[in-house]
Amino acid sequence: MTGPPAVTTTREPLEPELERRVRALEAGADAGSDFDAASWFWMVLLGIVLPAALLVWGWFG
Amino acid sequence: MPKTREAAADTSVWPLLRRERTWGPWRLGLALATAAAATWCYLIGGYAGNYLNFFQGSLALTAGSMIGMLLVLLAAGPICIRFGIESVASTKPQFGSKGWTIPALMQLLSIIGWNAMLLIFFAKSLTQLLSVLDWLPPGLGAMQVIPFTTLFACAVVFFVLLWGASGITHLSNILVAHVFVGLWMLYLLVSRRWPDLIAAHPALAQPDPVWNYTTGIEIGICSLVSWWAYIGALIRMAPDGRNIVVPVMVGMGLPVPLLSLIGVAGVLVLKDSDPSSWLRNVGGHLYAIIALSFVAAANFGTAIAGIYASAIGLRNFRRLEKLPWLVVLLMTIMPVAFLGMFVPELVFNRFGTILALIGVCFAPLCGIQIADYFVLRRRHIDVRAIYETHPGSRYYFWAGFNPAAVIAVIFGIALYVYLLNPLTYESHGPYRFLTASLPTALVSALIYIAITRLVVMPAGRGGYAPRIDSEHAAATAPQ
Repeated sequence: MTGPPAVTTTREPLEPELERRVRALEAGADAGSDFDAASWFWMVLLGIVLPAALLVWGWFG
Repeated sequence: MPKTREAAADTSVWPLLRRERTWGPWRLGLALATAAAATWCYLIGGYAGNYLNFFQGSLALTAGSMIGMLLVLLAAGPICIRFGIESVASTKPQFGSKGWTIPALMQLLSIIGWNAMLLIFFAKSLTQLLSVLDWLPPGLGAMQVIPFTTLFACAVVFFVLLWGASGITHLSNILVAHVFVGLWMLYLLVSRRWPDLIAAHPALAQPDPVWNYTTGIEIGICSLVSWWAYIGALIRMAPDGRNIVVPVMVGMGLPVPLLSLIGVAGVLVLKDSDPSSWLRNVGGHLYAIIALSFVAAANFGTAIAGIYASAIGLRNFRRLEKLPWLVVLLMTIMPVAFLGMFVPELVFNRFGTILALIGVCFAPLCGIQIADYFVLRRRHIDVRAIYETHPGSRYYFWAGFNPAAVIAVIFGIALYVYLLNPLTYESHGPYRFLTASLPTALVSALIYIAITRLVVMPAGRGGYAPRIDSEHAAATAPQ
């Protein structure tokens, strides 16, 4: 199985200040981090486990 | 308002750099709680209290709210937090370099509608307060005072937001007290009317208890999903994804259902969800003054966050990108002021429609964003392409629009309306077991994935293919 074909894209000049920001983000150090394992733990706990427990309690309680 | 280039970044739609994103978890949580806690919580609770008793209504609303908050966080959160951008800009990889105007319009309409509503409630609370203090001239009611208080409120919002996001933080440190005042109001009502509350029967409860319970959950989900419009502008002020989950889920997800309990209790016992209408009867003169002051002020906090998010969203339009912040703010506030000053009754009487339409639009949007980021792009986003608009750019798709996203949104809205008519609450199919928002988000996501895999990817559109010229490929990968 092959992936989608590679596509040649062209660059568009950005505003100087925007260009500075985008370059800083592309360099990596100025970008924020994605969710880590602890984030996923809290999301599962607060967004799935807690609501499920509340719903069971509300129905059978 | 003199600002340095970097200090002014929070009034721009351009990405914020990590060093400019100074909100820690506490500050973010406070800002989110202030934004979430407003009169609409009482109305949301009032809707649930029409179908469920206090116990079930409380739990169903809380569960639905947390589920809705998770959907919003998964949809807009990753892109906004990684690149310091707001919600509308985060939709460009899905909707295209021109198609983002669709979510932008949704955001603008919802925020203008909600904020016009909040400022009218602010006027109502202020009128009640003036009445309690005997400062209201005889013969004047809320509707007569609203045009003046709306103008006053809009002026305050405008001047606070001249400071950008820092205006929100200054105010949120004070206004977050409303959450605690709200809990005190709940205690007041529950402790003094407990027997009535336990004995109360929801006025519009259906014979089917499963339907009633599901409707309570659905009200929670669709209310919180509407936070999509706000969340990006606030979480982009924090530097890391790892630090936002608890502030978002607890700071924004929990205050809404907690304060909604006031509405549930109010509608069950007193047949009125808005405490500004019944506080004097329940708590007495002094309690009414304290509580009404905070209720009025709380709507300010939310309106400020809403106007800020909407103004930042408007910056995505190239013509507005470089306009002075003051002008963009005025453009955002003027429609709100117009609605509040000239047609307040029209807005006030259409609250249910506003809430319903927001839920219908944002659930598909969340499904599409989650599918695109986690399933199709595997968390790889090209931040440069978000700002490129020419036909050769990665997110240009066809004429700037991604048909997969447009079709998925249309199908999603149609499915929602089939499952639950948001105006009549007439339901069909598996609604009573699944809610309307969750299957809508799921089906929209599946349609988006299918069209992308069958049409968009084979055509080499949308930046799903490797980029030959990219010297920054590594930077597009998640940290």
